[in-house]
Amino acid sequence: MKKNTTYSTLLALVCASFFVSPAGLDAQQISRDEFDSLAKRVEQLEASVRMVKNTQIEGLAAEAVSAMPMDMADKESLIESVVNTIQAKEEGANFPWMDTAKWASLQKGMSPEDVVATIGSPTLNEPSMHKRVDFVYTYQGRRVATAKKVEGIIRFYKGKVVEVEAPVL
Amino acid sequence: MKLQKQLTAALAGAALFGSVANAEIPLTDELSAYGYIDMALTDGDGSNDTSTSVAEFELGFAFAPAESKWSAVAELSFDSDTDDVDGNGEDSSAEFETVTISYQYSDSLSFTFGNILSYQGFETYDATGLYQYSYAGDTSNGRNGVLYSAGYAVGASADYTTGDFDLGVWVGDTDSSEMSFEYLVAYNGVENLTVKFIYADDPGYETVNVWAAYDYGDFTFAVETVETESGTGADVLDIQTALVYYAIGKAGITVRFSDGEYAGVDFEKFTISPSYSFSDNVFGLVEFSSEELGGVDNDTAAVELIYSF
Repeated sequence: MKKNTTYSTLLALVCASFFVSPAGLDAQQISRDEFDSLAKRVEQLEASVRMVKNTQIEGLAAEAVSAMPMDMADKESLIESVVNTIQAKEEGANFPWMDTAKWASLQKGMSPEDVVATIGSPTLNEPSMHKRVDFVYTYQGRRVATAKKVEGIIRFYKGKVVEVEAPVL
Repeated sequence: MKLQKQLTAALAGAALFGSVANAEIPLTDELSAYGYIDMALTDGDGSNDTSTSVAEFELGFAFAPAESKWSAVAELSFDSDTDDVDGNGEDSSAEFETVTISYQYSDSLSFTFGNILSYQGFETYDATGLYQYSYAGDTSNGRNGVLYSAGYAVGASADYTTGDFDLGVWVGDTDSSEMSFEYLVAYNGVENLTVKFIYADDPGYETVNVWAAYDYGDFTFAVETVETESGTGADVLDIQTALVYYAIGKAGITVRFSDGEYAGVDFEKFTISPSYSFSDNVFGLVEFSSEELGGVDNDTAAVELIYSF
């Protein structure tokens, strides 16, 4: 119950920051330091929410499994399996490109449309100053289970993939 | 104008593939910002001092709703203008570059209205697309080295593209009763080869510009010719340029040679420029150029650092 209360409070804070911030920005200017401070705070809140969420999933799974007639080792294994499945589903929904097999199927010479069809839309699409690169697709995100920041990069020249930096997943 | 070309491609891409992010810095789903800072240090004959400057700071905004055929771009350029190219006696200037509203009629046909960049030139208007610091023409006698007779001008253009060919026509108003026209035919039918023919017909000048660029492995080969006559038919310039760029990983080296005449006076220029891409956003180069106009030599050196965003 305490976890649920904490979770709700954090969610309320995050939601409030989304709804209140634009009005605040319209009303008055904020300094760069204040902006950085707010950004840091949001990141901390996101990390807290992620931790609470993971703990909750584990708690719910443990609660469901405790009623089952199994020995302790099997129960722990099942809990771990359930948690992994839920986290994988969440990651697949939010970051479909976080899949090693998909990155392995990328090849030099592919078009941007082929890349998007294979691993989804990039987080960023930027021009490059390198004379042999026209634009760069960057895929950024955090692993759901570990919160580890991962990044993959694909470079294009004349409409074709010339370089792939697969994320370390 | 590499950034602009890519942005245009990205905008066109957005119409075809709405889910692809099309922004350098997405401000909202429909509005994005981009730009670059160009810093340079130059030293040349006839001056005891080196010249350092923030050669240009450019900031652009692109508005491209995903489901709309309409899009808009606005670029503002802040230039140190140490040579007083504007002729206003000031050592800095701020001016609009591309400020356009475009309508994508179909995948092949688009219409653009506003302050539009000329079709002319292998050498791009913005430093981000150049292989070296200087332009291929004369940099003495108050000239800035640019060979082309037009830059940005207010008008309207229609552009049609097929798999192998691009066709374009631009029309703009002038100070006289006559209109100014530019026509483009580009061929992209052979992989790694681009050929462009541009004809400009203005009451004040007439220009024929032809260039071809070909990528072969780590090499880029380019040749270009520019011939301009004044409105009275007098020769203004007739210059031919050849360029070779060799990429060595993140480094590269450019060698360029120009030869021709300015109003009947012989002109030659040789440039060598090693460069290095520190990242996808940061690019630096050094350049040594030697030019001769009518028997008068002019040597220049430059160091340039560009940060794009």
